[in-house]
Amino acid sequence: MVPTVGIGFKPEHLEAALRSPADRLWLEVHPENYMVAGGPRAAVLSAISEARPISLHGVGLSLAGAADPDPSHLRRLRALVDRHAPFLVSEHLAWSRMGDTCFPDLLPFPRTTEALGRIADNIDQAQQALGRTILIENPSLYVAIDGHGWTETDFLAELVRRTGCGLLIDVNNVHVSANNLGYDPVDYLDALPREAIGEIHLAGHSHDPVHGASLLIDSHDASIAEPVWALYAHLIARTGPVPTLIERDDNIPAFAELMAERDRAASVLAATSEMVDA
Amino acid sequence: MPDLASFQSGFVDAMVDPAVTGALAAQPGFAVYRNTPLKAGVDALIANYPTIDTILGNEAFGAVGLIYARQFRPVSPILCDYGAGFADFLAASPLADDLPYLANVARIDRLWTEAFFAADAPALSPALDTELIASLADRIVLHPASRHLWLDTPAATIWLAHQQAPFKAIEPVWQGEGVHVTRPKGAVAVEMVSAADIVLLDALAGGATILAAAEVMLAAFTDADLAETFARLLHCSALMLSDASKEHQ
Repeated sequence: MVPTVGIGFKPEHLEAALRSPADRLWLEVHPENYMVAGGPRAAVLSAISEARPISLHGVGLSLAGAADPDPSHLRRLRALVDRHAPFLVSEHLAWSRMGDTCFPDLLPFPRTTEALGRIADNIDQAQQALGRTILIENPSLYVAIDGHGWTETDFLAELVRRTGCGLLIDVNNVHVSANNLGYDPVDYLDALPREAIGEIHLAGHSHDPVHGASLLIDSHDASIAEPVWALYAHLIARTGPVPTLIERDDNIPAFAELMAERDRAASVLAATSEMVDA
Repeated sequence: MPDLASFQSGFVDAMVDPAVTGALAAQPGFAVYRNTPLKAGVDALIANYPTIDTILGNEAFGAVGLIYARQFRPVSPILCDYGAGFADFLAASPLADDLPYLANVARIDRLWTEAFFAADAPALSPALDTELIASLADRIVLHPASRHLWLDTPAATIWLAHQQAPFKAIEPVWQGEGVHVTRPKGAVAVEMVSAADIVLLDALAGGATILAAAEVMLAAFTDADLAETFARLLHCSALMLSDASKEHQ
């Protein structure tokens, strides 16, 4: 399948997403929103997965935690994978659980060799439970942590090498983290193992209400910023066409507005395809 | 550098306690980690208790929701199930002094959520022949999406009134009410029901056959109209055959 551009699915866009004539439009959902026994919510996922290719983008496995991934959560995720046959399944390089308590966020950690072994084992467990490989997404970062033994790009590359997982590169997260922690986002993109990148995310961010532009927040509540579009074009020129997602989770606009961003990303992808074909 | 488990433990301590200081907590960005999980919790409560949001308004709900979200962190990443204890929390909160019905309204929102996400199963159709239904009586059970509760305030009247926009002022009679939440034709329905209906639903939920449950109801309420109750239960898709779930799969 030639990669195309998808959009993050919102229930209020159900009719528009099903009716859209857009060629090979695909949709991504958070599986946690559909881990229910039945009823209308479950029926919505069936409706979209029958009509369109879908991707499951998890937020709850806490793969960068010291504990094993929750087996009951993995079973629920496997049930969705078996039922809806997503073409992509992804999770985050972050943690969100300690013991029996969940923190609905994507939390950071020191990239040590000990953490690397632990996280590689967690990814292995997830991939075995799901019967397939998954993509791991780079996080948005807000604080500097002492004691990193690895750069994030080397850490991701080593996870790929050890587990066979792929990467989901969120270009907005790269922009946000580079801004907040003070590094060059282009150097970051150039250091990624490009052959492992199986999906790209594009999203909007906002300025922290107190600290302004020095602290960018990965808020997914605005249109994609111009510097993120520029980084996307840079990354795509390196990787060739990769399935790309327009992600929006708050301040949800009309479906047509998301589709306009999709068209813009599609034109970047198409230009790259022509370069690759030529 | 501490190992991953120790790092997480220290991070959580600093995240949940604004008084904790240190290299991480001193950075402006650490506030993002203190706020985001709480905002996610409050947002989930607002989504799961929309009638409480309507009654309190967004600002007041945000304040009480934040107290709950701090005190009761989620135990699962499946946030559409978050807040099971919110009604009990409201009942014990100072809000209950001014709004004594609030906790019971929250209980109805919770039943709505449970009914909405309950398993699918084919319900007994009201169009079925009465004799056929009678012959199946021993196999009749409640549908997985059926929820009911007796409330000691007129919370059902208040809940129903708050689903109307614009809201019309009501003066409910201060008495207990029964509520039955079901999912006919894939949409959640909330009905106010009699104490007799609640007795029958309690018996059914406890495993009694429909005939035994009817006897319990008629013993407690000699004037109850069994035919009317049974017709209502069929009409709102509250009943199914005990092996229907398996057939459905």
